[in-house]
Amino acid sequence: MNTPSILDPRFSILIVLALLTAPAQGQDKDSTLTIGSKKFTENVLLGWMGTHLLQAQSIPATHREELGGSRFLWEALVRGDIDAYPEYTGTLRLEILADRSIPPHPDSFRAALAEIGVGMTAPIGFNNTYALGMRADHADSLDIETIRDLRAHPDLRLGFSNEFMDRADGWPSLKRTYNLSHTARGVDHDLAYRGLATGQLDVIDLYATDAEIKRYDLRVLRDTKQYFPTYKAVFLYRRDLQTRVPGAISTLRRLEDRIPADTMQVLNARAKIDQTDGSQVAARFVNRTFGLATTADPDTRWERLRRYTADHLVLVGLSLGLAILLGIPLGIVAAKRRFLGPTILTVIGVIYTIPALALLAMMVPPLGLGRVPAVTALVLYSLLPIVWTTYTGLKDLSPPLLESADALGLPAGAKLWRIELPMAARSILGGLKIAVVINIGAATLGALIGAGGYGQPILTGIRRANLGLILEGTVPAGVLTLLALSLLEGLERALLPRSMQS
Amino acid sequence: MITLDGVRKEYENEVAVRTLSLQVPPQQTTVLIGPSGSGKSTLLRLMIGLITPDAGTVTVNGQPLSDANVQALRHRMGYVIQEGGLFPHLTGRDNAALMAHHFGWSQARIDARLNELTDLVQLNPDRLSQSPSELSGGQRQRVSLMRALLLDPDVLLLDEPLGALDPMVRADLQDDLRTIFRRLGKTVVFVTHDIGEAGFFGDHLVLLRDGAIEQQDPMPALVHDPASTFVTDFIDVQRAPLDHLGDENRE
Repeated sequence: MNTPSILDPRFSILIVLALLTAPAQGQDKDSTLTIGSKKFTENVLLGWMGTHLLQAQSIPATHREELGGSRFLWEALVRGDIDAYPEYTGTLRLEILADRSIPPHPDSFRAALAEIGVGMTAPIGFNNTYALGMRADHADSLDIETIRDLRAHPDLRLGFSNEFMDRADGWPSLKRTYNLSHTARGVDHDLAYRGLATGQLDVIDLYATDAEIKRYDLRVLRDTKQYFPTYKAVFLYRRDLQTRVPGAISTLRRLEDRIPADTMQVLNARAKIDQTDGSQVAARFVNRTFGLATTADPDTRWERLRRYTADHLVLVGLSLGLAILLGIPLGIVAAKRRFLGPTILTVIGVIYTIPALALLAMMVPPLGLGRVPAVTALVLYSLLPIVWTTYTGLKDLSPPLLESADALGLPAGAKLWRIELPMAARSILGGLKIAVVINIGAATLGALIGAGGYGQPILTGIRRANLGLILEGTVPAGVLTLLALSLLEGLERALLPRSMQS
Repeated sequence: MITLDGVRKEYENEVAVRTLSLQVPPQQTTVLIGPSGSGKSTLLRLMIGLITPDAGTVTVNGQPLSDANVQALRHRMGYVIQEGGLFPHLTGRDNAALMAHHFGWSQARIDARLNELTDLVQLNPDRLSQSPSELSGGQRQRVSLMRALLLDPDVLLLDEPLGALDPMVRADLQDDLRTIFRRLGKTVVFVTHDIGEAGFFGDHLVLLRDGAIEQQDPMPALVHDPASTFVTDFIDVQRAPLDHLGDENRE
């Protein structure tokens, strides 16, 4: 038999399983404690502090930084994807445990959390409450000092972080409490500062310890009605750490009451405004405070690039491979089955209309964080071009040629393999190229759910307003796309006879 | 060899073949002839089971065609269409040897059979390494004939195989084809609308009109003993241009 098999399907399934279960670079699930952090600087710094402290006690710990918002981290903790993360008491009371109406005292959460298997340290020190802020000169010119004063200026442009826009203690009830008539729009928190600086926004939400307050000379509007609750930073951890990693909890508790608000503001400024590596800022603080000597040697640019590339290649390679294994058969069924066919095409079309970010987020509740949900979402996302081009490729074949194949007495399977698929190959390869481009781009979102890849520096770059870091992700992604496309061109030249090439 | 018994075929309320019966005599060349839409290609495709009749039965080698035996019976029939029907992704060789690969013949057996066939169809063996788009129309039909003959079938079905060729190439190939048919002694069914070609090949001519058989006879009988004026008109129309030239010369 001269069947041109590129990969034995059984072999490729084994590879897929091996890669899916392999940890992303630098995370080893069983023996290592995993700290998570939300995607803003202060939380990332706290995450690093916890990680460095644990490592200094010879407890193997890794940090999955900038995973997402509160809900995301909370669910990851409950599921066991991460073992601990820094949280704020206000968020805990009003957002995460909102349906339990818990009195605002730390001891009362402890009991509620314990029921879910989650423990909580005492506050680390500072109170990072929400606040509203605007440029001091602008506030002076309008004579605004308190949130209440905004009422007199209904034409001010308000831009709030997306989380603040819809959380229980966020904009909707703030608006009611102060009887404000403004409409606000959602923006990324880090972009909001830039909007304020360039005059595109007038009022934004802040965290009380944000480094930018001093830098941009902002006025924090007084909360005369004491609307905003306190947001004391704590570490949440899984209670099973007690037995699983002895000493881990007591190590995290060493941070209790060690970081006053002004210290946190300085640390935030160092990471965000001076662009010092977050891991290093945290290590220096931990060393000074506890008299330790942990070193956070930051990776060189090349080491980082190597790590991002490895993670990105796994994401793209796995998801494309699976999308091909799944998409070509689906396209064949769509072309061959009169009733099932349109259904398949419609369902895959509808999946594609879900924004990649939303699809990724939908994968987390059932599949957790990391590679599995990221690859699953990317497979679903890459199916459309492959299925549709396989379908049209097969449907567009010339009827007389198909009759000639039938007249030879070729059974359906042999006809498909020897005649139809090769004649549709140009169309299918075209779909594959589109899938590659879509996939490499969409895979950068994988960093949001801890799958690493070129999205990681992009995410950090956006957070730190650092164009260099953003380019560290986008440029290699572009180069990878070009390489993958030329690889496919080569494949096309090798597989298709000259007569069928463009 | 091939028998159609009470066969009828309709396409969306348009009758392609009215109820008809036909016996294709073995080891002879039968030509199905008639104007466009007379049902000659439909009859051919009914014989190889590419379409199934709405009524009646098609019998090949004594077996009524059914889903169960159609693949096996097709291996006993060769089929050639107007443009050759060669697959563009395969070389001439792989087109011709497609079924040999499917049945897992050894390379030596394939090579030997292809050698016999290139001799038979008068094709330069070098042409076989080219893809269909690189071959001329005549060469494509020779490769297509090789593909049809590969398994040494009992029956050859040809649907206007020379229709797309220019006149010189066509004349060459007509001669070669008739030689091949005579040499192999196979049962041949040949579809054409050209009365000259029909007379050239056919031991037996079946003239079709609107999905029914108007007359079946050898060529001389059609000319001298026509069943209807339609038969005479069909023959005369194709003879007319040359006769007209002849008239001019006479003047």
